[in-house]
Amino acid sequence: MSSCKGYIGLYDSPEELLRAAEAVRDAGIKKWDCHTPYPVHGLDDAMGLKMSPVPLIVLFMGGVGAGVAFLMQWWMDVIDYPFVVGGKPLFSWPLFIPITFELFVLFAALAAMGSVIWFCKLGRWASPLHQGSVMKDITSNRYGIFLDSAEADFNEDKARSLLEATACQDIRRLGGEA
Amino acid sequence: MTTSQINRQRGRELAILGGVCLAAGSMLLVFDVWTSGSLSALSHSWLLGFAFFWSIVLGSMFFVLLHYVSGAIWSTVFRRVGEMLMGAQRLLLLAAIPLVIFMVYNDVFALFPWLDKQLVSEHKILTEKSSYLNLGFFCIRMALYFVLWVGVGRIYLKSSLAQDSAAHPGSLTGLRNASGPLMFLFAVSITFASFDWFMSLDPFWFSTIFGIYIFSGMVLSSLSVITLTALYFQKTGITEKNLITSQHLYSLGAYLFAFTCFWAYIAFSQYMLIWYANLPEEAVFFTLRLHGGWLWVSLLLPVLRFFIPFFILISRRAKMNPGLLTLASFIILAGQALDLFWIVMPNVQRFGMLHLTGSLGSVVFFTGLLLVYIRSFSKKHNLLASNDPKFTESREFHL
Repeated sequence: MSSCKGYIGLYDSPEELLRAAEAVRDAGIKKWDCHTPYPVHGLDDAMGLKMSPVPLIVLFMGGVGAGVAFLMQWWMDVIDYPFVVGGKPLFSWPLFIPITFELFVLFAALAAMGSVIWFCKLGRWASPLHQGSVMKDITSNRYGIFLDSAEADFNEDKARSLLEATACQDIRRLGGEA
Repeated sequence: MTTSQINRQRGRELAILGGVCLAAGSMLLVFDVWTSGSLSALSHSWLLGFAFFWSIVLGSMFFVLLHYVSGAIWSTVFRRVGEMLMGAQRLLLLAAIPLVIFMVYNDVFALFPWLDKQLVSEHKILTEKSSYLNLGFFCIRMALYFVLWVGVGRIYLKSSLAQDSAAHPGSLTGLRNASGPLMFLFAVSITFASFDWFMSLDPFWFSTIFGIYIFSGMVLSSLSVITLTALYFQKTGITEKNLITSQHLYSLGAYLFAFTCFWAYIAFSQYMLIWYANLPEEAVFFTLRLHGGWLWVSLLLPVLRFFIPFFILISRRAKMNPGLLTLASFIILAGQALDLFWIVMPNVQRFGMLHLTGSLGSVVFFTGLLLVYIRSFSKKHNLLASNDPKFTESREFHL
């Protein structure tokens, strides 16, 4: 008997999902997630999600990009290869602004992409959700709530009864046979 | 509809504040003329206040047209506020009459240098521009702008008000279909209006990006006024409570944030290209503004217009907070007044004087005019397009 990876409850409409998500949130579960075929409005609140750390990472990396770009141009134009162009002073900061701006955007965009991939845990070889037709259903017309067995006091009966209490018609156990 | 008709008697303070602003503004204008003895300062101050009012009214026209052209749902709860401000076109027309008087008596008021026949004949560049820059053609263009603006303002406001009492409110398909071509005409009209009214204050100077520069400030100032007015109506109970959610505020805040960045992008592009090429006929604009007292205004401008609003509005929580959004809106409006001051006032014939009192007086005067207008509109009309088929969806709008 292999270990249980968690439970998933599949719902037929976003309204049912929102109601169920509120119930799971109020039950104080920490390690869980919702899976939907498209963004469901209001799900953040229903899940009680806190503010994501992504914006702060993006802002910080954007600042790093701007700083790198400005210092790089200052070093190149003033220290490494001083060359007068168009009679302008060596340290002509307005000239540095476009590239500073571009690297700000580049670093911020890459940081956004990288941190989203990291926090979404993309790039793993396997996920319990790939078992059976779960992901096929979620990516077409079902709305799922996944209760992860990594929860501190995870208990199979408790997880099942929590999903049953949300009037879920389709509860599946993931990870090995019971 | 009953919900939005509640408490129509509230908001008297708007009329009082507006009246105080009108009186104080006029006094400051008179004081400035009396102390400086310069009628050129008066005509420039009036143009500055007029431009402030114009940017709010025309920016609201952009807001309403964009609402229709994009088929937006979220902005339906703000649409009437936008239409109300856009409906002030006739007041704008009245405020333009003194400008024509200033131009006819240009010897005294010295508003546009290209009206000075001797100066034009002395400079070949001005002689060649005189086929475009002459009083007759200028007034024809001005009349065309106003035909477009007043016409669009009336038609959109009237149709929208008619929808309130319609038994079977449609989705205003006609307005939606017209909004695309009108958006194009709007862009052309404000570009040429900015060339005519502000760029020609120095007829030697030109900047091809100038129309977009004025446009960015225009959108910012109208969005700020829409935000402030909508929040005021809700807070005083003139419209119903709990109508504007954090989701609506976030959208307005994001809009303001985007155009704050847009302004910085355009303003810096204009500065950098002129600084880099360093051609005398282009650089004169910045040379004038980077010396003497104007240097401090030029340094304050990006701080007030970009850095402060940028850092206030950058976080998501701030965009949803009515207090911070109000603060940002007031700062952006102050930035718009400073920006126009920075564009218009260095051209006053008596070099070196900032004419602060007259400029302040004119902006205060036109702010008063706007407040009185808002009060008189809110007494007469419904302030929410509550019969629109999209209204309920807009109320429940969620990001």
